[in-house]
Amino acid sequence: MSYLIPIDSAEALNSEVVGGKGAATARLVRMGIPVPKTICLSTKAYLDFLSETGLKDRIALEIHRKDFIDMRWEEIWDAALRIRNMFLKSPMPLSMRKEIIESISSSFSGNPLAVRSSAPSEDSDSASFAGLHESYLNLKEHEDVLKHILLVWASLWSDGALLYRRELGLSPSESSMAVLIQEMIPGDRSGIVFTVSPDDPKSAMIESVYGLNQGLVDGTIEPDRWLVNRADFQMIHSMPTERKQCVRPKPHGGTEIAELSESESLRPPLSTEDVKQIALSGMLIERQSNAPQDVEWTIKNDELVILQARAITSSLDSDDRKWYLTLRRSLENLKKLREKVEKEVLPAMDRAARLMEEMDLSSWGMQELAKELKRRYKIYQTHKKAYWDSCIPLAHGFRLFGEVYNDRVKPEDPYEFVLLLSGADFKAKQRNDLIIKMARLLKKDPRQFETFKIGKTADLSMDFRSFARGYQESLTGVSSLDAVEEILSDEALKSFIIRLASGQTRLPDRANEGKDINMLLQGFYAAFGSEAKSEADEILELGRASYRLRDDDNLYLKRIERQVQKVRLMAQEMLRQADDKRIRSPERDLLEKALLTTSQESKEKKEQGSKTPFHIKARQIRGQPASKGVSNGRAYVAEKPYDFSDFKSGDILVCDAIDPDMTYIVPLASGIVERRGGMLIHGAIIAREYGIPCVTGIPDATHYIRTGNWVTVDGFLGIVTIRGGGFPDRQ
Amino acid sequence: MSEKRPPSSEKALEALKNLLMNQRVGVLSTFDGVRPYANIIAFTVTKDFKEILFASPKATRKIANLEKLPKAALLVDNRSNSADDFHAASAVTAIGDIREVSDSERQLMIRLYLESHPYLEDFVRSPSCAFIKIQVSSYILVRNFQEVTEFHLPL
Repeated sequence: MSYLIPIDSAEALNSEVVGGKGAATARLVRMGIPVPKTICLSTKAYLDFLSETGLKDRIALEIHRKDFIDMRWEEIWDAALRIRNMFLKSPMPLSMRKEIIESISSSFSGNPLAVRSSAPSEDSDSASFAGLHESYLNLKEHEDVLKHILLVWASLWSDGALLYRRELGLSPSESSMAVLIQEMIPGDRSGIVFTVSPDDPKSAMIESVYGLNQGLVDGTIEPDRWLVNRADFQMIHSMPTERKQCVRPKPHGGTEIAELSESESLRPPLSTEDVKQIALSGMLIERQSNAPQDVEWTIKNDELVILQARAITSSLDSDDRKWYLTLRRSLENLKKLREKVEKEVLPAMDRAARLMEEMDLSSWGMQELAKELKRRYKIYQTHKKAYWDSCIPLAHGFRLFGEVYNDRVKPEDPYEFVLLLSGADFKAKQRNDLIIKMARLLKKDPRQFETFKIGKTADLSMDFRSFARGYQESLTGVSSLDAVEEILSDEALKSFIIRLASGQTRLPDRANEGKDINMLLQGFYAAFGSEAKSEADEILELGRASYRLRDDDNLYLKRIERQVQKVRLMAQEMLRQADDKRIRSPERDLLEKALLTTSQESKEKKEQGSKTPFHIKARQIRGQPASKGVSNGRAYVAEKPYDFSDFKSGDILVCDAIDPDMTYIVPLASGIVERRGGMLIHGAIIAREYGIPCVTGIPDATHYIRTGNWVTVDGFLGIVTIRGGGFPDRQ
Repeated sequence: MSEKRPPSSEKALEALKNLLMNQRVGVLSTFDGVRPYANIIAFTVTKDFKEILFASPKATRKIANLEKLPKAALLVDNRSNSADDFHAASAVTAIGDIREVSDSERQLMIRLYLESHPYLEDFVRSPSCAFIKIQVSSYILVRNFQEVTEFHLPL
């Protein structure tokens, strides 16, 4: 059976065999349009690969870990990462390998190649998958081509592709993927023509950048734009951009961002004549295809080559697909985002929180308080939006690092990379360490311990005060001289420190410290080779920064939230006193209204409750394995407002999500169960940091598990077993 | 009994009902105190899911076992003997005590049983056949490969 289909054969017109992009390219060839030399690896190769390697069943098991419809994006990303690793770790059958290498050798005389995804469902009239599946450029060795074919196949199972298919009601299990293997054209100038402009049906739009198209397509490089009249190709409008960079092929394979020369940055990539010629080519393809087209092209040595063409579908520009596309971010895009978060978003949050923290509200009346509450709520909403727009997407930084690590190192455990990130110090852990240090000081010095217990702060040592200040500063961002008083006023924290110091609760060991990180680091750099060391540095640096910020940004926003809460509590107290005195006034109404409009209480979905003769109990629940290990213990279900006075060392912490306010409890837990899902969410990160078994993504955990239940957390398989009563059973 | 349930319980309940109402046969486990035994039976479940009915010739090993130890487990599943089973199949184990079918309820229960298994009319009405009910105390449902939900019935 031949897996490779020549682009000029009749079979190449069948999109079931060569995918949407393959069939469209075959049609271009028939129209006499110049395209790069192309051969197609058929969908049969993909399907045979899945069945011969057994991947089909392994993927099915992975994707049905839970009801797919109930999986959150983070969980789908995790599943996608595991599936991607399965593809990379599954060797291609020898006969298939041989046929691909022989075809490449006979078709392309040693030039660099590009491999492009071409799924049969891609770019149909009703749905566009443009950009959701992967393509790779400038591949020089046969082995590189083979590896990237696996990655193109795996991209059928990327988080964005899975979610988009879920939205469209398509089953990924029934999808397949062909791959176009093309001669790489190292274009001098490249771009896209939309034969019908998205904004004006009478004009066509052309976008162009220097170098390869990649930067334009993934949004890293801003293009010059032109609008031309569809009827006579006369220029309507040109929109130049600030030209700085372009994407070029790297000498040893792959692509890189390069600075433009001064003359390039001053001159648009296309002349008026070029624009007309490109518009004309686009219209030619449109006429022969009977539909408006979105055409990618490149120019090498003044010769125009069409890279691909697809019909503009009704959903091409839908917000939905655009959102799914944001799940894939380039290194450049993330570097810019990091700069924004570090230099703008977080400092702005810090300033906002600090200003509010320093305000003295003690003499304020109802009217002022109502105004202040509304103001703070607005500030909180603004920063929360910035958090969602910038901080959350920055988490893609360590996801990208994870993918690069897995591509290069091919580890057995697809989450091995997290150990390299955890070298980064983060605030929650720093705070926990300070609590432990305070407890150790008290444990060593009984006199000081007594002083702490009765709240005589003046007699506490300088060391203790400095730890307390460090703790308070890390939590609130303000170094306060009253730090010890503030710790003492937090009853839960105070009693927790007393329990630690008195030995009622064991002091935790730092499980993960020094764990083979250097060895992993060496392996990571070795996989890049010495010539790509700076690339490795760059991606590791981004991974670590985004990992650390993902934790810290939580704390910054929490500080602002606390300041809203502070005014809310003051307002509630003021209203309570007014009620006692039966005072009614316009000011009182104003404050009541402010409280109501700034309420953040979420309305939980109503649980269902049709009649049944059963008492239903979950015995074993499946979530995501987020931190390895197995532990048994008494469940402690954390409910707001948090009070951990009953939490015992060795308990299993069951919660919605690990809040900055509760991270101090984590080192004492023997296991963690979180309602929210994902390997890379806050709780999972901290659990791995301390080597505590953790299962995430069990939305009904707090419904099924009660404080006191005996629970087993299996962090290898992602299973939580609820054994019942307050003791271990042997059922 | 009505209780507030999260969506996952609703799905589990639906899966349980589906299995018990759509499957016709299950694997009955019995024990004589020394050796366990398992065999296939044709069953039906009452509308309130409290009882499972089946028939068997009296001179069988399962009946002998049940006479010695009147407790049984019945496994009902929808596997298709393919790899898909690992995520697509579900199985429920009913656990309960064996109770005699009283004369007053016998006709009604046989009618119910024959609605599911009309071809067994002669078999059920044969004097050498025992008609038996399992008074279910709990069902244990496994779905999604390792998700286990228990359904307890008040005694």
